[in-house]
Amino acid sequence: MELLKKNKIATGALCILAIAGLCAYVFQLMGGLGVTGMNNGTSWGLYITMFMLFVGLSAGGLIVASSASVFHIEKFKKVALPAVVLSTVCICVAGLFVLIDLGGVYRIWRIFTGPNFMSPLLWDVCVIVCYLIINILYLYFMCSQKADPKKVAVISRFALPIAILVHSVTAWIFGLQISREGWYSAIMAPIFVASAMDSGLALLLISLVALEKAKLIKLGRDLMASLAGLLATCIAVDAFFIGCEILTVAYPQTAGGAQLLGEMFSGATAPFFWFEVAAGLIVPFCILVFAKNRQRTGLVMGASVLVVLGVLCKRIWLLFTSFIHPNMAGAPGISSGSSVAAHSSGIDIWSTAGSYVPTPVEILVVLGVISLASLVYLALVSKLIEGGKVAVSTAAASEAQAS
Amino acid sequence: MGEVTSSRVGLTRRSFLKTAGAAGALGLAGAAGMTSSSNWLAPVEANADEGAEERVAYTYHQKHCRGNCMLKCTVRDGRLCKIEPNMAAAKGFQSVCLKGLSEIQHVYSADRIQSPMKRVGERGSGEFVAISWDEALDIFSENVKSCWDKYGKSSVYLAAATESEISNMRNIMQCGYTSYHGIDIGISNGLAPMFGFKAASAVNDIRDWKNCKTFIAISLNFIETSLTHSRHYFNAMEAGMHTIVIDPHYSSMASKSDEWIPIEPGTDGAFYLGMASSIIDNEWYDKAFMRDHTTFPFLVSTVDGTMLESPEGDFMVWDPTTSAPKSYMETNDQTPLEGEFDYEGVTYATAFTLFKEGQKTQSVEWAADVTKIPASEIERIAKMYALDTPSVLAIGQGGCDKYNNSDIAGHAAGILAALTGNIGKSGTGLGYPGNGGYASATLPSWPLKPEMKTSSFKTPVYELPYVENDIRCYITLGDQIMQHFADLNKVYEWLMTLDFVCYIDIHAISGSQYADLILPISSRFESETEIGGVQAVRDHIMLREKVIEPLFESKSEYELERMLMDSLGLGDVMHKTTEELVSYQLANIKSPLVDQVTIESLQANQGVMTVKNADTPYCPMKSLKFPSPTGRLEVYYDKYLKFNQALPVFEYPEETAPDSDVRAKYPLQYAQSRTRFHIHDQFCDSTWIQELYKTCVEMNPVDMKSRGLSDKDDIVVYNDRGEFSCPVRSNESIRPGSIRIMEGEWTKFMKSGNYQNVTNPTIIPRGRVMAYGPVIPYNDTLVEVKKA
Amino acid sequence: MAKLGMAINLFRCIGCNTCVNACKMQNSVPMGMHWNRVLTEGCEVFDGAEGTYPNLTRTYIPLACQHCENPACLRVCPTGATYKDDKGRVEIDYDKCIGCRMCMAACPYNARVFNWSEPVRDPDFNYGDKDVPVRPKGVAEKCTMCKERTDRGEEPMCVMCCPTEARVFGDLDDPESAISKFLGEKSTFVLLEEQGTRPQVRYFK
Repeated sequence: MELLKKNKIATGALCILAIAGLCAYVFQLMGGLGVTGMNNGTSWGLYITMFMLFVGLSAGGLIVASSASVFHIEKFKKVALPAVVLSTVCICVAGLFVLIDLGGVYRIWRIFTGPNFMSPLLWDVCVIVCYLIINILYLYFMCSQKADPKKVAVISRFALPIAILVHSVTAWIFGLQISREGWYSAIMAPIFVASAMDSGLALLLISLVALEKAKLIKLGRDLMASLAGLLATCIAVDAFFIGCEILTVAYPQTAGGAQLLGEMFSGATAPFFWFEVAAGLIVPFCILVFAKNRQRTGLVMGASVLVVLGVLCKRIWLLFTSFIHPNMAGAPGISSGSSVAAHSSGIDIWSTAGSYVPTPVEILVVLGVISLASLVYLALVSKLIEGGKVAVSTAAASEAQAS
Repeated sequence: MGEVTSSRVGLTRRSFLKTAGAAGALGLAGAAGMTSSSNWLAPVEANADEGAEERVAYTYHQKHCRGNCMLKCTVRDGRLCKIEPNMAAAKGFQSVCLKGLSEIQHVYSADRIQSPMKRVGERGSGEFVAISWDEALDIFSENVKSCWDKYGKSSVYLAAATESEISNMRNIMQCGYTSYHGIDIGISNGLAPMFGFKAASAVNDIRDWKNCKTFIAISLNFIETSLTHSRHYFNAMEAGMHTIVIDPHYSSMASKSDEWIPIEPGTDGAFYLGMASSIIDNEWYDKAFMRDHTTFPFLVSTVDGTMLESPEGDFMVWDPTTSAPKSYMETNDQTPLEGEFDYEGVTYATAFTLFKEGQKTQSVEWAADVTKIPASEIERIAKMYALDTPSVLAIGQGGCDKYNNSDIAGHAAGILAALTGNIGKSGTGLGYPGNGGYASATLPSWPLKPEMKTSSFKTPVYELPYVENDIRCYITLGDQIMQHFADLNKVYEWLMTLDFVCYIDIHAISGSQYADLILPISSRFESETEIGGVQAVRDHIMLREKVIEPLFESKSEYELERMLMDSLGLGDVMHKTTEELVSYQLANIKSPLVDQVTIESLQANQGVMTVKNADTPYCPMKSLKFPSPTGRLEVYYDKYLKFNQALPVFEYPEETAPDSDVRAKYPLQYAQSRTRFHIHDQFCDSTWIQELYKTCVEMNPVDMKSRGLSDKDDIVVYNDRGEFSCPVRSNESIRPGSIRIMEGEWTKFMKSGNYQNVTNPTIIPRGRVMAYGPVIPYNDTLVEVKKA
Repeated sequence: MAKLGMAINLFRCIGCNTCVNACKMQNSVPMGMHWNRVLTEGCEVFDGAEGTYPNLTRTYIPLACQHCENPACLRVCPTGATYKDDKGRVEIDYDKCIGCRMCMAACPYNARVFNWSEPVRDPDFNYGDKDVPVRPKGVAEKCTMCKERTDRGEEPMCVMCCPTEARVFGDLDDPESAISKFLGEKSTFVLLEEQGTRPQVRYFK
């Protein structure tokens, strides 16, 4: 709780935002998803974008922590605890965004009484729940008084494949839909894993540096540099996958492909695409590829922030570009639905191309959830690290002995 | 300018719904409960409870589109909730369209006039207050009687929309009346003399189109404007009919034809004359038909163009055996179709010879130059029309008809039929194929006292704003102000000078704001009594049952007519109930195809009776006995000699002529078309229709680009007469150099102004001698557009 | 078992939108959405044309749920709310729909609409067929092939009301049905065949 108490203004602001977000969500429950900017043409919006982003962000922590024990990377063990806390909070946020996005959340029990095992969304629910359980177990085994390094080691061996799976299944929600030109791709799962790795690592770096600054942990230059090095590798892999995907779409010069890339390169989603390419991939890679730069906290932080923003932009262009042009093109197009956000009546209910702008309600909900998550993270991390310092160090020590 | 709005009288639609009867209100509450968030976990329920009361009633819909759809209506808890075609109608006429279906919403429209209203502000300000019927009737009778006292009965003018069923009032009140209303009459003006003014077309039942081989549709967008009849067009195409659509724009009809031939607007007459020249040049004409069934062999003086008549008054043909004229009734194989003959010092030529001579200046090449259709195309179409027979020449009322030269086009079209014999036979046809013009049975109107009739005057209605006249009181049933005048700003000025303006309609449309008194009538679905009316159309006798009670304070038309006549102390001559009228009409029905029909027999058969032989398509003039005095197609109009139009001589329209002075300033021709989404000004307020169509000016992208306009921009359309503003849509279907708007849109749904503010009201002298009077040349209008 | 289907004659379709309003009325479809719509193919404006004046073409395409044999929407539904019924129709059990909109992302035809808010009807009551379920906010809906009518042995409303008789309806599994005989004679195509959805709504010109 130290962190929260020390920064009263920040804590207060986060509390206010969280409460505002909650109010906005209640408003949404009452009015329906019509209070968002979503419509029949663009049927997913900011919430699903955030879901994709946070599933990815949760990756870094668990991958680093479990790599520590699976691949015996000793220096990562120092940061395993805050990493797993970050991972846990992020996956909760991701799950929360799925629930927030549901139009009939009060019928959610239907998933359990009549599951359709063909649905990638059902897989995702299952795998996210598994992932969350593993995170919690991991935390428990690291922090409990009866902490058992052997159990941590066992959990780690499950954690890694589940982490890979959670990103893959999220990718398959999109990648298996033949109806959407920009989603339907076998490389979607690898892309999601790569994006998860780089954005997750970047967020972990940001949070570790922050914790170090708060004197909660001691990160050290070397560890930061080596995490930054890993980040650079992940960025390169991510860029490579995206390159593969775009080349495959572009090469046959199909009408659908050209339309899709047209929007990405110079159309509605172009700002997001080019931001990701330039600021999310090229710039951070160019910074981090040099070992010298990886030693400099400021540069590493800057690169990390850019990577997270870049991946956010990538989620945006990936999701929305495929909503722009319906397969059946023609006027009047698609009827928007009685969306309050669209404020449309008469002929204006129609649109020949998908469009979407998030409403203040959506933005408030998103800010609220992120604020709440930050509060929870800060609370957890300060409590667990302070209370568990001994446990962690003993666990680490005993595990080191065991191996 | 503000329009009449229902909120001004403090009665919003929602408040109506709340008070629309306990059952309805309960239904609403139930519906709200079912979907409200307090019932999240309740299972989804059906639209209506098991116990909801449903009943079925039959009525008929609008006739102005020629649809006359017979409708089966389901009423649940007092609300009209479902409309279907009435399957008791004859096969092929079991129909409904998007507009009929939209009545589910449209009868409850927010733009309904809910109660009588009187003007409180200045006339034209659109400020009204709701009043009681008693007060309304007092205002009506006081003002009408005052006009009667001051200026006589003929100072009251009653304009009624085609759709209106009020038929007696005009006669009972002995109103001033003119039959010249300037719309849908241009081509007919040119065709009527051919039939001795007894007919203006010879169109077969649309079901007969399947016997046609070549179908030429010109200025006609039938599958949109009479869309419920489209199936017969496609049936015919599937049976082998080849269709050619001549239209400046790529209309719906054009997109569903074998060939679309774009034409320069306003030049249809030149196209027909070009076809005629090519038929003459290639001798594709039907000599026997021309000799026996037309006045082509008749002798005409080459000196003064008069027709040679016998002392008995018979027209003459040349007898080669006696080298002298003889009565046309003695026409035989030897009667020459062509030639010049000297007789008693005067040279006579046959009408055909004169026509051939005249056509030398109206050659195919000339026509190609005027119409911008290649000569080879005109020739090819002429050949098909003449030789690939039977052929139909189907002419619409929305394109060329709205020009002052439409009579010439009609005359030329008639000559094409006369040259080729494509008339009076199965598979042929000439003129507007609305198919609404005939009824196999005639229903008499209520008998009135003999002195109860209108006093006619010759001034066209739409000329009243410009000339001295006796009209001081204008009563309009439906918005005749917007629909029957051009250049509206002048019309508004005229309305301001009148003593009394009374507006009677279901909806408060643009013209209503100039009224002193507004009276609400109800729709075809509403009636005070179980029987709401009866109509005979085509092969059907159709009964109108009560579907729902009249909404708000509205009255059915018959009820209103009785009330108005009562207020003038003249009600005793009227039928006492609508049922009495309907019984009288059915008892006195005139038709050899109907034995006996009663309200009960109609009710027993879903409100419809089909006449005998309803399966046999109606074909007029099938015996080739034409209704003219000579029994022939009278191609030579000596009546119009002084206008040089005894035979058709093409004239350009005035404003849109290529060398028109106005062109430099206003280069765009302004075309008014009709859309499937409206029937003139009807349905503009339907929210179901508004979801599908919004009035806009359509322009070719070329014309938009040169003016820096983008799709969906708001634009101003203007000329010296006025302006209006609405969005523009980019559409390749529009002929460059023209812009198109769908007529009928209310001012309140435009960005500003009315689409008639810019239209051309010019009357030409020739128009005044025409059978149906001069046309309003709406399409002979030039405008320019700019970004709003 | 039956497999209800439809064949639509695109040459006869005049873009009149009668089927659009027929569907809206029968199924009590709220304002702002349509289960059935008519597209002017490839155009930005209704009644537009492809090409350059005067070399123009226009095709109207009536479009609703294609009732696919291999429905993309059915597979992705996490709760089984979307199902293929014993008459071969793709239907939605609104009580099971959690509003995740996976089906809307999966449908290649954009056939589905969503109740984003409390449905607004104009007029403000449940018009249409008595037996049609009232959908609450937060569920997806689409053409049911007029389930309530076809269950009673009637034609769907769009078929009944089509002024050009452009729609043929019936059981594709019954070789004696009008539609089977019709499909035997005509060569038809399906929309977006490359999506592999195998629609039971066929088109021909």
